[in-house]
Amino acid sequence: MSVEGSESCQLLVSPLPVPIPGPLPVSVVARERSVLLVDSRKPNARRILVRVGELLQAEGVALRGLEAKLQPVAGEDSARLAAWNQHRGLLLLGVFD
Amino acid sequence: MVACRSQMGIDQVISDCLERGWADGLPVVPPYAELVDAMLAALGWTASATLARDEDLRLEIRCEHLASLAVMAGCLPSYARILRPLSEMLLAPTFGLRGVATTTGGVGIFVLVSGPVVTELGFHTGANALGTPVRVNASIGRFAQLVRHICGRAGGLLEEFGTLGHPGRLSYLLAESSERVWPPFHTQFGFAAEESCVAIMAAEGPNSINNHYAETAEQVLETIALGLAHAGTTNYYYQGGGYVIVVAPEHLDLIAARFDRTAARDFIYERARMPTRELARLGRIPRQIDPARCVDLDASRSPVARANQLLFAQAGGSAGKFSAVIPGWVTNVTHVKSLDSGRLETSQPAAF
Repeated sequence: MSVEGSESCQLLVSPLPVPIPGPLPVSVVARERSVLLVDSRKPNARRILVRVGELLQAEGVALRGLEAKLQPVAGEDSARLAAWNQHRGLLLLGVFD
Repeated sequence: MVACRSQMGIDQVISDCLERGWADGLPVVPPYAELVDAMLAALGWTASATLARDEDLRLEIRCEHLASLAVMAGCLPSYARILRPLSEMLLAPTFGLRGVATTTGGVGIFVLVSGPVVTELGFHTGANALGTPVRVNASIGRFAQLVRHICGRAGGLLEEFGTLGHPGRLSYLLAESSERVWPPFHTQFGFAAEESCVAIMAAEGPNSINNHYAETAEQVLETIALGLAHAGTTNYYYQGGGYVIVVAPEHLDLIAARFDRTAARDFIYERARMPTRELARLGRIPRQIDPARCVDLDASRSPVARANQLLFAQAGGSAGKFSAVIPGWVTNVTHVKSLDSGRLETSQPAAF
């Protein structure tokens, strides 16, 4: 492909995915002093989360529960994500060592 | 579309692609618009049409992105017959490209081509079948890895956490030999033998199986079983994924003299096991066992839940008593698509 003028210029087509237009609302501050733990079902995740829950409770953080992902490597369905979105504190998903 | 600086030499253009993150570490064919347009035409795609959307990350993957990656990988437009169904499977939600890219498992995307298309497009199936310096093998295998690296990482938003990875993350393709003893690979998914198919499986690197002194089929199969079921194989706890056993001609001649494919599979399935208590002692079974994993400490344990998670492919050089075991990633679902009918079949997902 060329352009008018004394110099030639070829165009490269980017392979990078493009953003979908529109706002992406993100909450970065917990609205209450609580935590909901979500086990990723990766190796040792539950043991680590249980210990994290104990440490946070000792610091006065309310523990709202310990749930588990349906599958360790797949995303959750929209209903579950919507339910988690109602949580007003910190949602901690993970973890693996 | 990005304008390339005028009067830039080819070495500078390639370096520019690398600096932009449009590469896998190796030099790429620069995705010049005229090359991408030719690829789009061969694929029957419109540049701006959407192939996939990631609503979580608010990203869209368009036809021009994958056509660009095909050019960068070194593919020719004549490979479109494979590239199109391959692209559709790579971006299918059921394949989970993001997880494949980011897992600590460090897996690559293993591509397996079978049926008449192997001969029609000139794939190499003989010596060094898993690492062949033939363009159609190497570039289509590389294309799948570039899709993982670029699209699976959401264009660079995410990190690939593979603890070690393996060389197949650059290119990982096997074309099955047309000089087979057993029916072609895709018949294991219910496709007709005369169809051409392409399959993908997120996989660890191939484990070589050497047995030059075996005199019976049973000795070879048992060696494969022991190699497949080593203590460190990933799947012992979840029993998901699967294994592709690539059998080369000398081993296959010995095996096929006494076993058909199903009998050989069942023989391996029965013997590819370890004592569960030994696995637990080694730390391969967690202390807090999930009841869904059906762990019986007094029984032996297979790294697969069902025999049909073991698949055979036939390829390799005519000299040498080697085979290979390709372990699938824990919960990944193998996808197989017909190039003739477009029909898609998948392996049964692991139960959770």
